[in-house]
Amino acid sequence: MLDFQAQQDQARRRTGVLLAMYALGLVVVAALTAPIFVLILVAVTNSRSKSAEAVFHVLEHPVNFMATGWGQTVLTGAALFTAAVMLGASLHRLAVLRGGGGVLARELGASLATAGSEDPQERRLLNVVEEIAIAASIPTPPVYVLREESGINAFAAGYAPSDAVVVVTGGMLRRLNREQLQGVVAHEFSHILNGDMRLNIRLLALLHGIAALSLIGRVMLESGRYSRKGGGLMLPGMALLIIGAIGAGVAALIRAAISRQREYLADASAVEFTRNPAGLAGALKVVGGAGPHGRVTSARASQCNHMFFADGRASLASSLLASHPPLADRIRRLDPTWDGRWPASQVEEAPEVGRAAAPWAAAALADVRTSIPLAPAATAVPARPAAANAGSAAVAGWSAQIVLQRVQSARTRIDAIRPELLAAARDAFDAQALLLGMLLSRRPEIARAQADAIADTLGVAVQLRATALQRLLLVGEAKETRLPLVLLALGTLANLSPPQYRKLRDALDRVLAANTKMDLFKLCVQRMIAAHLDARHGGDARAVVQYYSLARLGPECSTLLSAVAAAGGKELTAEETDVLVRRSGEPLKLPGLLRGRSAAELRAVAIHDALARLGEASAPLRRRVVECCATLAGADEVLHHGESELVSAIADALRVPLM
Amino acid sequence: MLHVLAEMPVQPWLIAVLAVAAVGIVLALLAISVYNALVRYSTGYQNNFAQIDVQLKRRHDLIPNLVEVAKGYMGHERGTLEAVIAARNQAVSGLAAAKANPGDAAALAGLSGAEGALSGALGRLFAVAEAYPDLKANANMMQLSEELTSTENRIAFARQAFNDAVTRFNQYRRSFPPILLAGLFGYGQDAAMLEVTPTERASLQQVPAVKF
Repeated sequence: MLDFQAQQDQARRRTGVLLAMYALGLVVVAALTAPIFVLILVAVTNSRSKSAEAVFHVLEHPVNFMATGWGQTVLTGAALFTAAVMLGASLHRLAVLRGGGGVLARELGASLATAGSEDPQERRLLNVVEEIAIAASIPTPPVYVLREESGINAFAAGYAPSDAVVVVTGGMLRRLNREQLQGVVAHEFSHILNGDMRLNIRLLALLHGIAALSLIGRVMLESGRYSRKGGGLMLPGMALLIIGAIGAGVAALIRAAISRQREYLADASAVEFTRNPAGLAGALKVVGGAGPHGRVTSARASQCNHMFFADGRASLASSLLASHPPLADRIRRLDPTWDGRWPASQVEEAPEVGRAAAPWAAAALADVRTSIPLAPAATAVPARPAAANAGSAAVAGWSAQIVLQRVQSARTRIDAIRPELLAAARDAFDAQALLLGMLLSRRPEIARAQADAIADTLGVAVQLRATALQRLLLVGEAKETRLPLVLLALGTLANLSPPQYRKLRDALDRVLAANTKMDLFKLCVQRMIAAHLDARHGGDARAVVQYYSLARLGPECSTLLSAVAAAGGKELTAEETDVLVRRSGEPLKLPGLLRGRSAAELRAVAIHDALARLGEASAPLRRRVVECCATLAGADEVLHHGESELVSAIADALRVPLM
Repeated sequence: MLHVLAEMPVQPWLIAVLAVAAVGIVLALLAISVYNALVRYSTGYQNNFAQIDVQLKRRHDLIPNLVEVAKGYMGHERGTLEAVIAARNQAVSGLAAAKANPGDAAALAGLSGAEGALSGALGRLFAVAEAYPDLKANANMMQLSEELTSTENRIAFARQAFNDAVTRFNQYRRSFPPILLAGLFGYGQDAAMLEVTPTERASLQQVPAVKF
């Protein structure tokens, strides 16, 4: 786990260096093109016959020209104009690309894979995506399939995890077995979690800005060439074209280098998820062995070459511009024993019989269990952090323990969920009822008020279903499967229409308002729902960071840590809580600001607000807070499943991927 | 050299040419984004139709089982049972037709008509079944009718989402400037919504109300 951290840091460092070079390149291009625009202005503001002359005059006596007020105005104006053009083009492209992953997927004509699909391979894909999503503790993203595409490829699109979609080609579905499919999906999820898409989108946008300059140059060159008297425009036009082209070329090289680094990172992360390098290695080998038949051929899909799993272009002539590292290198990093031979192109795999084909068919009304679980069942992991050192290494060890536990148990956890609840989480109507049912109180008076609120906003049918599902959820083992259910349900609810989403949010708010004393887990669930649904439906997937230091968030941290302590199950006195909170909160560096609050003092609204405000802190701070919660949860030396679930819920509520 | 610049007249027609070129580029970009948006919205409602398709298939698959169980108890009521099967088969072909063309008004009208007829036939079946207490008490029957009820809810929900998506597509298509280009790009027609026919509305009120 720590080795993976080191890899991640190295990749991030390299990316930083490359980004700095990219920025420098932009500045140089801008500086070079400003004089060009000066010349253009000169050419344009002269009569046709004299324009060439005027330009050469300026070129011969540049110093004189620049010394004048007019010269300086023109230069400044030109510099600003250059910047404006580049910025404008970049922003335009950015706006288009930021529209969200689903936008891009639909623009490519990909169709949504649904749980009730007739194609068993699509259902298998959905199962795989669910497993990895639960292991990564994010809601299942919508999965799109490019059905007509026979090449083997996949990509993840979207600006942020709550915005993300996964797109897979039909060829990949047909040609990879389950293990390999899992490796590929894990790879794509790693891109989502590492923010690669966001990085890529920004780089693409900036690249577009430089390319715009070159485009303008080309236009001028051609207009100059075709008009006999417009000679003055040709020289600056050509210069612009050349500079723009060189600038764009360099930028593309840097972008490709960054992209290759991120691909190695995604491969490494995928292995962390699945604990199975063979799957991803196998998929890469199949892609290599498929030769030209494995490449993506549709014109529309080739827009997204940069995002694909493997370089989809037919010719890999310029390896410097390749967005992906060479297949052979990637395979060797995953599988050092590889002999270098590509497997022969295989007949398409017959899909295994996984989930029941039609769960509502009479025969399948009975319990349906799934295919082979990937890992042994989870047990309570004893508290022994991986690293020997105390301090931050130990804290990292706690988060690592939690991830390990989740990865090993994702498939098993899904299998352990009652079929009725699982089916409910996968259907849009029932998923609403499921989430609401999870938030209903056990106390009758409050539950009644909440039920009325649901009936008011969403209708009686939903309310009845929610109450029924709540009963199922309270049954013994169902309690341990709540978090995966939330993640599955949130994935299903990604496809609500805007009016439906508004009604659901309304119902959620009213259900929360009706209960004064919600337990910490429910509050985290409520925040998770709000955050993910709002991000997917409401608009800006990026939350605005309000706090760069925890100095003003002392009370919120105290509240949250106290809530974690209170959730431990043991009755703690105020002093014990205080001691625990202070001790586990040391890494937060808030001397004297942390104060334990006893369970009686904690109000649901206060915890809800604490989560909301901490959610607006910057990413490193949020990570630190989650790690403190993890330490506190593990303070009694055994990481119970319930406590790890709680910490996972907090991490998700604060949008911290536990990797 | 400065006097050259000081004396020059501004060439209006060249400025005009540049302006026109700039406008042209902007228009081209606009057209591209309109096309992409049309594709996006139309794929959107097609995806939503796929959700309705799933639920309707579920409904269709439940019915033969229902009829089998009922046949064991009310074998004499052959007419009613056969009417249900016939309506169900009609609905299955209606669904296949609509699936091939999710925005087409005629196909969708056919589908909602067929589904409405199916609801009607089911309503009559349940009404007749009231007279058979043994059937009412049968565990399979109870489970199947519960499944049917929840399927009705899901169909309604999926239909709502589909209609919302169709509305969004239509609104965009009709707005300015997409309306100018929509015909050019092959989106000359509004997409149709899946309406609830009067028969279906009446029988929807019946089916969920059946209490076993």
